[in-house]
Amino acid sequence: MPYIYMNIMLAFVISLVGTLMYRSHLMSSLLCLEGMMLSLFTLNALLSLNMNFTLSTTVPLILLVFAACEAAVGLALLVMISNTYGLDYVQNLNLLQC
Amino acid sequence: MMYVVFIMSVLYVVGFIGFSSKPSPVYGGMSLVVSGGLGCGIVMSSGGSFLGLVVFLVYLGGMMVVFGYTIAMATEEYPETWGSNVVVLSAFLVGLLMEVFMVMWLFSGEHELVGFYFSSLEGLMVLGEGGFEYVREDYSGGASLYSYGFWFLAMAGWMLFVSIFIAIEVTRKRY
Repeated sequence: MPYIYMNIMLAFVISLVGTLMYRSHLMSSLLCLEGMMLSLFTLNALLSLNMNFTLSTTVPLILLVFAACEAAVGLALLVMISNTYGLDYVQNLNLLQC
Repeated sequence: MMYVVFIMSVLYVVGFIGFSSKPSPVYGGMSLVVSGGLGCGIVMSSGGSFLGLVVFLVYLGGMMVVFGYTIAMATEEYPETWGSNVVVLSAFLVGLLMEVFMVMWLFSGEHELVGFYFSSLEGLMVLGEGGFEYVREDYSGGASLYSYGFWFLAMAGWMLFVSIFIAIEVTRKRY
């Protein structure tokens, strides 16, 4: 297993763990989500280029388009939360109390 | 100099640990920009100059700029950096230690590294009818989005169009 692929997959796992364990800001989780998309893009591009799958070099481009849409929706939600509560602290999202 | 791509990938992981240890989002965004630049370098050393340009233009220049503006809008008065909070610093150091252990484990195995990574000119050659031709792989992949991958293009364009309406509808004030 080439070492570079291992490093990039490790980067994906690190941002996945960072997405799931949030601290005070919601924005940090969105940034870790963007990190997951970046590592997926890098891995896809490297695999398509190194194994000479020429047609699958479209896959990173499509992935980037979908990541942009997802970031837009996430940022819109964060803007609404920030407008309602003043900051994007996760502890403010306590309307549903079990 | 033959390890430069490996060093770039190690620094890529260090950048990921940097924003995954959750400092204030201002510093997380900066770390993501650094990782994006290093990722572009890794992709470009494999021969993908078009995809590296796409990372810089679309990802860093488009999405990260929007993230930067939103962070500037929703940030706190005293942002916490990696050195100002013991939780963030310890998470960063644990991640760094894990990466150092992984690099040491990788290099304690087989001792030959030549052959793990090639970016050669043979990858650009295809066997055509009249002999050898040269084709750029990533450019032809981007161009085939418009010919073979037309349905991908239609769906991606439609999705971008719909997400504008989604963003407008989510941020509508309801009184």
